[in-house]
Amino acid sequence: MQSTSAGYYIAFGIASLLSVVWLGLWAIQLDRGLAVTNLADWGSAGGVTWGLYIGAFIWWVGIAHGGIILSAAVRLFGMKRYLPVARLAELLTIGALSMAGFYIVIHAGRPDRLVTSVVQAYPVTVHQSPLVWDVTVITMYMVMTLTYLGLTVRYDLARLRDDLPNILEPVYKAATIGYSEAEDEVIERIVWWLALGVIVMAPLLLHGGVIPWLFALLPSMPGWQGAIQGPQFLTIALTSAIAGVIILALTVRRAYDWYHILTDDVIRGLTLWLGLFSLLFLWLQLQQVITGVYAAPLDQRTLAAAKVTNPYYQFAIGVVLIALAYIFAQSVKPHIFSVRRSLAASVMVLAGTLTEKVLFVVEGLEYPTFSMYYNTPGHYFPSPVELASLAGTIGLCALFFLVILKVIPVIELHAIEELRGEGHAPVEGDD
Amino acid sequence: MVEFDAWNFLYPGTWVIFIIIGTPVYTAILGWFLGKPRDMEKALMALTYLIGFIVSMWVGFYILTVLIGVIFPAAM
Repeated sequence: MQSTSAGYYIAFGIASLLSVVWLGLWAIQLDRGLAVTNLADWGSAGGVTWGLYIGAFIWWVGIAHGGIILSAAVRLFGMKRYLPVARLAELLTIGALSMAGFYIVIHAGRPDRLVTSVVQAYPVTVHQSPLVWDVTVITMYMVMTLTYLGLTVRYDLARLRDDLPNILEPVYKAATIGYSEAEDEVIERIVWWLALGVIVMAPLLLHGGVIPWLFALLPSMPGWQGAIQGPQFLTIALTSAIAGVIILALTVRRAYDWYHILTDDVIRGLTLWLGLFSLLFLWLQLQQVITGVYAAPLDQRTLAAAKVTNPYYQFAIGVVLIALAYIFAQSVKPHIFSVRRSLAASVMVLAGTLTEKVLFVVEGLEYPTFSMYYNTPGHYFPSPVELASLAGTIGLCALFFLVILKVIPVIELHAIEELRGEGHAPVEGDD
Repeated sequence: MVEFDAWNFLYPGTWVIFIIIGTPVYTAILGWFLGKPRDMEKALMALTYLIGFIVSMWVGFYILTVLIGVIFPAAM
């Protein structure tokens, strides 16, 4: 934590560069308006006014889920095997959810609208507007995760204070205010209740709830209709979330030489979870495709035909299928497992889920009932500004991690104590 | 004939947000205060964390709003 390698500076440089380039482009967008993305008008791009920004928003919220769900599952269901990745996962929630929130700000055109429209009108709009429900639930999700982290980190900071950077002393003092060892048992219980709240709210009521409900409210878009959207959103979220946790755990393990803490066994377990969620994701896609292509109402048939013939959709499903094939193969023949392959599977899954999410938004708009935009020219393709936002938000999220790695212990002390107690032997990794 | 319509006095958001979505949050907070081991001081501390984060998030946004207003003034 206190020593910094050359690799750290290189990673920091690249992440900063991506972020700065994007912030520069965002400044241009703020100056000239959403017109720089072609998303501001109805008259081009086949009628698509929500594009990569909204698709990437859903994607980031999905990634955010893995963190807190994994961490909550460790607490609620005693899945101690995953304790070493619990805090990394919580931090992933905060980083990814911040990026999701940032996308709302970006797409709002003028970010000040969030305060001037959402906050001022809240007492009126919350009763009817799903957009406001969305903001409410995301705020609660973020705040509950921050509280969770804020409370669990007290234990570690109080014990590791001497090993932490002196320059941040006031921060640690504030974070451990009123700490005494007597509180540990009570805080553990408080966090248990919080975990219970989060594990119900985030997956079932946010990603499998308010977000798909919000889309389903637009009545002439067959791609967004139907009760299947909630479960579909949730499986995609969980798939990307576990993929995110695997990538993060492997990156940190390599950077800090933590092969004995974040063992191959942990990665293997996460890989199996990735397989389960990928399977559910593909199953729900199958439901939509079959009910759409054969003897379906005309509007759904048009949408389903456009979907299955779209090369990007084929890519999204194809990469998830390949990842699933690997996961199945390694569970049958364990020697096929390697952390590099799991890493590749995770990256592929993330590329697939991002593509699917953007297509969900774009095709939903492009193929409305009665072909309302039949005479609207063009097809949507993300503009360079939107594409740069992806690189920029990934850069910003990486920066968040590079900074946080230097500020707080990213593996709970409980995990280390647990490992010591059980006398785990260091395991050599193959990456 | 006057028909009864629940939406006239209870809009969907009222119960979706304050009853359904709120339940996990209320459960957690009730658990802090009523669950055992019980420690009112620590439960209050947790509540302060929760409210503190909500306030700091939105005050942060408010400051951003003011800043944007200064950097990108509305066209006259």
